[in-house]
Amino acid sequence: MHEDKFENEVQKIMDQLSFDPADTVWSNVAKGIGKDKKRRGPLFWIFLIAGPIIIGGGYFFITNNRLEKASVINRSEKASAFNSLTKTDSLQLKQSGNETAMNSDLKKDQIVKKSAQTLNRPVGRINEDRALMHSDYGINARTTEHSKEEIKLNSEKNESTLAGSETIVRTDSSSTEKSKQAGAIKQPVAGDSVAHTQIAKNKDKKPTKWKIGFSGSAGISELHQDPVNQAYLFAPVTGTATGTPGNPYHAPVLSGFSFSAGGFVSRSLSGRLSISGGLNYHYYSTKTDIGGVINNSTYNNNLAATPYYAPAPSANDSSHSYTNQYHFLELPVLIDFALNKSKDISVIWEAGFSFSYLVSTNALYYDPASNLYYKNMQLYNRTQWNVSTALMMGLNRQHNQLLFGPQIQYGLSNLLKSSAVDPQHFFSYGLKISFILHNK
Amino acid sequence: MEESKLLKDCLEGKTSAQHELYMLYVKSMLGLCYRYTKSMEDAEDVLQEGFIKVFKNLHQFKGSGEMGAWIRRIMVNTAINYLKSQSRYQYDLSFSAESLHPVSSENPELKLDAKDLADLIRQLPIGYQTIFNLYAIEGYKHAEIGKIMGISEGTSKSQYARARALLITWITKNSLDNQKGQYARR
Repeated sequence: MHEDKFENEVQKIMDQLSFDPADTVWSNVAKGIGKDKKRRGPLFWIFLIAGPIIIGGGYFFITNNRLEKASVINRSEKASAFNSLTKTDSLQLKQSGNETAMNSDLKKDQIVKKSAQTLNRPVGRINEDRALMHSDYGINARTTEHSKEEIKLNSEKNESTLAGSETIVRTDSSSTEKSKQAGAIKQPVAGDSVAHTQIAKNKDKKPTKWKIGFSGSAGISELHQDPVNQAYLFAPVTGTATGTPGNPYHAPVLSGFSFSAGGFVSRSLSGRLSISGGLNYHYYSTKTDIGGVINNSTYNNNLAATPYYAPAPSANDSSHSYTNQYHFLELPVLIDFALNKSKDISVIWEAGFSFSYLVSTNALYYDPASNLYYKNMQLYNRTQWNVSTALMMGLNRQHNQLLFGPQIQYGLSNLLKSSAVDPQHFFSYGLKISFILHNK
Repeated sequence: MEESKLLKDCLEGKTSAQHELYMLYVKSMLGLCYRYTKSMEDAEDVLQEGFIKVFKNLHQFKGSGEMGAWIRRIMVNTAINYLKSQSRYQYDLSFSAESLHPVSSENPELKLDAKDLADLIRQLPIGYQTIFNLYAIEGYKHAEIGKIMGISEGTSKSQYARARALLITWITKNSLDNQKGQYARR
């Protein structure tokens, strides 16, 4: 209350001043409040569509790889079955001079099953079984030298094709073992010992599917309302600023520096696909123009947080750029897909998501009632979900791999707890570098 | 509806509660916005933006103070930001040391209704108008006004004194004109 009579009277009269507003005011206010909910709509649909595409794509590659492996196993089993058949009965077949007619896959499969059973039986039964097989599956007693050679070539071809794979080692050795137990195998031919040596070597060379590495990134971070639009604060504008019609009160949150560093483990899913998980420290920053620190007692408001910062004053007064810093711990899960097959320089597309936890922040929040900025960590959602993608070029040198390329990351979670205010999502872009150790 | 219940419903996003809160304060707040601006259109723009801020920041209102006072502060800040952001007000808001009017310490008797007095206040240059509103009506101190306006405390004091003197001159003139009119009618 003023001591002067004039000011007191003015106050009393002005307290009575009131007007009826136009109806459009409320409709615009209602529209302004509901705007946030509408903004989230497109974002939801983008990720609803993109999510299944990414998951489906990954599933396709993994499934495709498994089918390929299964097919390799089948072929190797068939090959080893034929090997054992050829080895155990080669003399008998030679003597009989019969010709086999095993052209169809069905017949081969059936023979594989039969031969597997045969291998577990006592020696005396084998010849009986063979006779049974011949009659069952149309293998005539007339086997020509040509067809025998064909069988041998096929089985060798299978061995050479599959050399180095885990499957051939297992299948071949198991069948050999079984054959040994049965005591039905003759002395191995020279070619067999070479093949076995090769297999043993390959077994020793089997590359590990797990790799470890380190990654880092550096770039720019921004706060966005949605993937397209940058966030604006309900904030005071400077004395020299000019607003835009219809949107005069929004002050932009300026972009800042961001970086991340951490380690990861990676597992190969197929020749082209790998998955990795790790732990990163991620730093984001943004900038806001503010004035000086205000004494808390000056302002009788409802806020519990301190200190308070004045809005940026006019150009004549001192103002400075304040850096809002955000420190996150991040757990990324990424899928790497090799776009080419080059051994020296590989091009990799990386995509995935990460879960992050806000460890600390000094970010300022604007309070329109006091027209001040203040710090309050309680206003922020500490857990965040992000999606990221990168296009990386990989250099393979001395069993290690160096990957680098542009990366973008977008925060799916709203940084602010309140759903009533404009949402804030982190958007960062920059250069990512990964170093994978012992990439054999 | 009780204010705490109204606040709770508003925070839950109930449109009816938001409308009720709006209706409770809209008339007086439009009066406030009218004092700070030069046209009713501008006043309604400020009112609209102010209420959007109120609803979007309602979670910050802890309920320890009066809600009307909290909304009023938001409206005042919104009005000042609006003036700062509008290019047509820029020149008027930049204060110079030039003395335009003599300082007055008169305390004239006010025989004006609220609308007439508000119209006289709105005739002041926008810088004077803002400082007069902040000091005489909202009760801000010159130090606070200096912070808000980005000027020194001394500039705020001197500008207020000039605004006051100018307004008193107009009020006195207005009273004299009214008296002359009354005599003429007799």
